[in-house]
Amino acid sequence: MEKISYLSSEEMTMAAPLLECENLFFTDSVEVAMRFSLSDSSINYTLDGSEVSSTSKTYEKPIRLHKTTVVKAKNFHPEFQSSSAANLKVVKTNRKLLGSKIIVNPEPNERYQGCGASSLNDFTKGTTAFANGNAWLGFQTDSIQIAVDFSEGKNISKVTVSSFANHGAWIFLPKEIKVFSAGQEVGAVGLQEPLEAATAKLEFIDIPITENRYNNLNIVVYAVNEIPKWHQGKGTVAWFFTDEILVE
Amino acid sequence: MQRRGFIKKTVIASAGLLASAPAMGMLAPYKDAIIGHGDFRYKIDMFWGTLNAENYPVNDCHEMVQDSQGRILLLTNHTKNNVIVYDKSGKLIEVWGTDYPGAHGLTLKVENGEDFLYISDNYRHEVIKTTIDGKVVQVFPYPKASGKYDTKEIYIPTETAIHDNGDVYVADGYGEQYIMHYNAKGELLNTFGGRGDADHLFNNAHGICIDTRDKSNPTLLITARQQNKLKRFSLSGDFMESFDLPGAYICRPVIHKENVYLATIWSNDGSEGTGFISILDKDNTLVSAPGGCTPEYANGQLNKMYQTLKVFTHPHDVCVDEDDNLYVAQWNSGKTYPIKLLRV
Repeated sequence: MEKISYLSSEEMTMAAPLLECENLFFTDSVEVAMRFSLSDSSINYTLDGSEVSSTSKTYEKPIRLHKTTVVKAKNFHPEFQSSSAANLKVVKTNRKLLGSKIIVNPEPNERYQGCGASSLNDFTKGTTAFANGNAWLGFQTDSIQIAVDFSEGKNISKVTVSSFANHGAWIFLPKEIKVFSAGQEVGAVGLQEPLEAATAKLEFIDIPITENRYNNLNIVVYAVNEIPKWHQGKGTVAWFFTDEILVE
Repeated sequence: MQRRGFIKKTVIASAGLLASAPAMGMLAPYKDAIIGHGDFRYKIDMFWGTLNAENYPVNDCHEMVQDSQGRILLLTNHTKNNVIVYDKSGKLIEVWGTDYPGAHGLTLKVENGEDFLYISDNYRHEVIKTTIDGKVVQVFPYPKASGKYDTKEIYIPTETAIHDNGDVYVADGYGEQYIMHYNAKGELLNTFGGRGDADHLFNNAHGICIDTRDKSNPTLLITARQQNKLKRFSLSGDFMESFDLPGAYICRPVIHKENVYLATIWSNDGSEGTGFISILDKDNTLVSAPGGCTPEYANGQLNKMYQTLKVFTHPHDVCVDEDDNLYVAQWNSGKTYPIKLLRV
């Protein structure tokens, strides 16, 4: 009989740990917990954006954070290959948009209407369980306009669109986002088309804005209008999801 | 071969990372990896059943069964060879089938001493009964008589279960979520289920089997995959009870001895590539999750399940042989062949 070569421990790679928190937005502080239930494994993490190594701090109990932080964590094991890094960004925000008027055109798809345009400044972060709750607005159109009318002029240098990708559910980050004010383009950002399916991920898309005092902003989101070839939905319009707009 | 190349690359990349770490000295000498929990632990043969893809291609490997001769049959939706027949070591015996573009469900039933197969075809919108070597003996077309279907296109059967009296149950898992109950002649006796969140309804009634563990009182076990639930119904279609498996997107229940085995295609929040295998005990408690986290119950509720080891991508079915080894067929996993888990 031929000798069977079984997968060895050295060839085994772990999945990334789970990072959890109540809300990715906070005004004062937020607690982040990490989970990974596998015998003999441990979670190491960093809070300064640096890569995680076997000498990084080992997770013991939930961590309380007081400022905008990128949490990175990996699993380590005496026999198995360490995991890729799980990343979680928690954002301390000033709620500058409170009281602003937001108009979304077109209306979100009837399946994912959240609480209408007001979901975009309700300070509630959606989760990757996107069909639950009222946080997410979902669209399946080429472009989406989000018009924000501040009640008074505000100094702004950055707009953040909080979004979500889940390729398995045909939800992609947009191709491009442009920001206009009084007919002038004041900021734009382009995103790379994904080359293969990635795991579901919450994303904050930052758009630097020409610093100025603005009474209103018109944010135009250009969705992936042709799903890439590697996906079963190739050629069709992808879903775009957003749950919050932040300004700084 | 693709997989071997991938694994090698991973090892090299990660070895570079580890080389500078003090943990390197602690690495155990080369040994076989073991996955699973409690009594259900396995070694992994990633290359079981790997064939030359030019001669014997697969797309999705959907389901597997073992026949009375001990052979392992794989159903794939590649119409060059819809059925690939292996011995238990993974050696090719024969292939057949070119007429099943939507080949999805494969159930084997011994009737009067002879093996028969029931193939649920997503694209043909019907169930086809064949002999063990592929001769068609009966077709169960879309159930017009149920009154639930205006066109055959909305009927997308995923799985069948066959009772000892010859009755056939068909789960319309990708269609309208009804369960069709036929007699052996193919006459529709009953329709139950349907789409919804209530106990007796389904969201993705993907798999069905007859639970024969209580010999005097057989019942139906049906997965509600998107609801992460396994539901028990009477043979006449009455809802009886439901087992919660939070975070486990279970495909079809397979009864072997006193256990239920379920390929779990996604986990946690349903992200791509997060599958593992679920094994339930006689009380339908999750006792082992090869590739998944340690099953933990708190106040009678299973904690949400997630993948811990990158062994499987999208497991779609498990076949269990007489030695309790597992053969795992995978959907949308780079056209790879099944993986065998050797029980240790």
